[in-house]
Amino acid sequence: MRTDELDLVRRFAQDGPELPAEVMDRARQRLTEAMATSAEVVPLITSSDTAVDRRRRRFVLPAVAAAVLVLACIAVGVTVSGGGSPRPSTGVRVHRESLAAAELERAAHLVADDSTPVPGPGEYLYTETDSATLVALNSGGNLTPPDVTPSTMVRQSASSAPNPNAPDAGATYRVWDETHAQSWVDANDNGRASFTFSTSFFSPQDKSVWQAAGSPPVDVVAGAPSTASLSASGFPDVTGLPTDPQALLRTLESGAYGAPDDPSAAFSAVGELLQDPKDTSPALRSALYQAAALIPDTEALGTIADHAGQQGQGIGLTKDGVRSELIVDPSSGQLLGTEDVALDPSDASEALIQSARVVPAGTVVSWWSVVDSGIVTRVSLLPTASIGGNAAEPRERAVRTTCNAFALDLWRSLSQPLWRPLLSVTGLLMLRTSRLSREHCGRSAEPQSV
Amino acid sequence: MIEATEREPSDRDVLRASLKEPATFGILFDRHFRSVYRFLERQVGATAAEDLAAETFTVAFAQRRTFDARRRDVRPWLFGIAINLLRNHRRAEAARRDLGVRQATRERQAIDEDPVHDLAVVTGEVTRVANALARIDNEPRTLLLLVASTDFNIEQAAESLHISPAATRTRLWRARQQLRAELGASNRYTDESSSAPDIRAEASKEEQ
Repeated sequence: MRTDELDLVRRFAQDGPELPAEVMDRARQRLTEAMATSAEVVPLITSSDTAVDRRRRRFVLPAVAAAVLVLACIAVGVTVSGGGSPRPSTGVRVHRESLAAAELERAAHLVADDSTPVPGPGEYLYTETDSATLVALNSGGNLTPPDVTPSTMVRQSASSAPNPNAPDAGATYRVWDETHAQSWVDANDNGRASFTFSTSFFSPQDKSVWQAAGSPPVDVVAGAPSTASLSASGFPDVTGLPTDPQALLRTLESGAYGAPDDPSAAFSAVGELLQDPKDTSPALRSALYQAAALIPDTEALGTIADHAGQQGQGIGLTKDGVRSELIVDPSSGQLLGTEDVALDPSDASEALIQSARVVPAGTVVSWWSVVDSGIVTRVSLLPTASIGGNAAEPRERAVRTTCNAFALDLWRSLSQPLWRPLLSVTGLLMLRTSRLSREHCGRSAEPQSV
Repeated sequence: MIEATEREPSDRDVLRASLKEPATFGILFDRHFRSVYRFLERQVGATAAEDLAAETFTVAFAQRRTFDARRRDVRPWLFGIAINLLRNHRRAEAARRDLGVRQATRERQAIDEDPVHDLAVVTGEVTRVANALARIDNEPRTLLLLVASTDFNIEQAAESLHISPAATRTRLWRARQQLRAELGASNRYTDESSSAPDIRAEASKEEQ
């Protein structure tokens, strides 16, 4: 048998130069842009079911989203098993990162063409957000000390009558610290903001534990120590942030926003800054997404629903057993919501949100959602084309509903690491609030006088 | 982190998922960009290949709904898009040349314009086959490179070319005849005996 001429062609076909990485990057960029321009609009879900149901649905994700994860993981398996792979040990990350980076780049592309309404003369930009952080408290109403483990939690939950001789830390129960924020801001940053704080129990068992402990006050906001002033909060003016993604990422990692050498802090900072569409320019928002795309270890989560039931593309970064997630509107690139999910409570001893240690794996321990926004002509009016309406059907209000126009109270507790996520969530909004009139406090009881 | 599972999802599964999760299409890019690029680079050179290969995937993404879900393999479809773009590219090039800027023979064009020949550094048998490929027509050359750079069988190649398997078989046979003739014409591929020629030794002899 003679040598096939096709064999010769094969040798020729394999003889070409190695594919330059930049060629592949440019081609990938073109594909990403093509994906962005063909973005399909996912209808926003106006959900009327309960918050608990929504949370459950978050974990009964559409098969597609799960499939994406599986696909990504499997694609990785190939890389790992393929002996010739130049970087087998990072195969898993590389693939999911590339998807996450593509999603973030796409969001950056979309958000650069800003469609955020700008209030004209006599108009106000209305923004309504809901957020909550799960807090673990002990019987004294204090924050749970760090030695509480899930196992003690289970033991105490199972016991309806805890041993009265047990130390205070024994009776641990979990409550949601919730914030409902509404703001009406005109082009000159004048207007009104109101915040409604509430708490509710994580589960009926937590209420039982709380009752067994003698129903101590659960005024977690007031209970937080006041040690930091607003000026010491360390939040620089967002208008001074660079719009070059690399420079922006360096700034976010420099410590003013996050911890040095902690990519997850920079990722969280991106989410926090994106929560303030009023004070961030389109260029900055685009740069924030691009900076996030540069952060290693991010993963594409596919289409997921935020706490308010809005579907978007999820991008996550896991640290200390907790995955922080950005949920991005696929058609506008705007941030719809954020979530922190306790993936591995046993690994959460260092987690920023300490309640992540005392919940079942997969529990959302902190979330933030835009539930409504639009232009209105008068303070206290709501936009006519309301996208979400009221977010959560009120659960049992354990403690109080109050009006607090003075964000300073919250800012003071910024030094408490536990509160940072919650505060940062509303922080920028409150920073703006501090510039607003404080007269509205007594009026937030009727904030929706449409 | 999540353990990789045992089964690799087929390209078809990935493509199907990309209908709802566009970002999933990136998996196909990661899997196949290299081979598509190489297939094109061998015919039109690096610059045009970069553009055509990138375009192949953006077109494929845009047309992903048109992929016949009954087919298991996505690659013939993908290479089919690449071949269509390649043909368009050649037509545009030909039109440009027809503007009369320069008259040349087909061979001359192939040597000047077609990077199949743009391989000054290659040696030995690769030079020989590159020269031979440069002298045959575009379509048979594309078919030969398609079969050579993938492991496509006749059916898969036929899918890429949008012609019947029988026609593909005939064209491939003709293409091989043409190539063999060119190799023979250069008097560098004459061994029809039972044993394979020692191309490497032959090539080094030539170089001397």
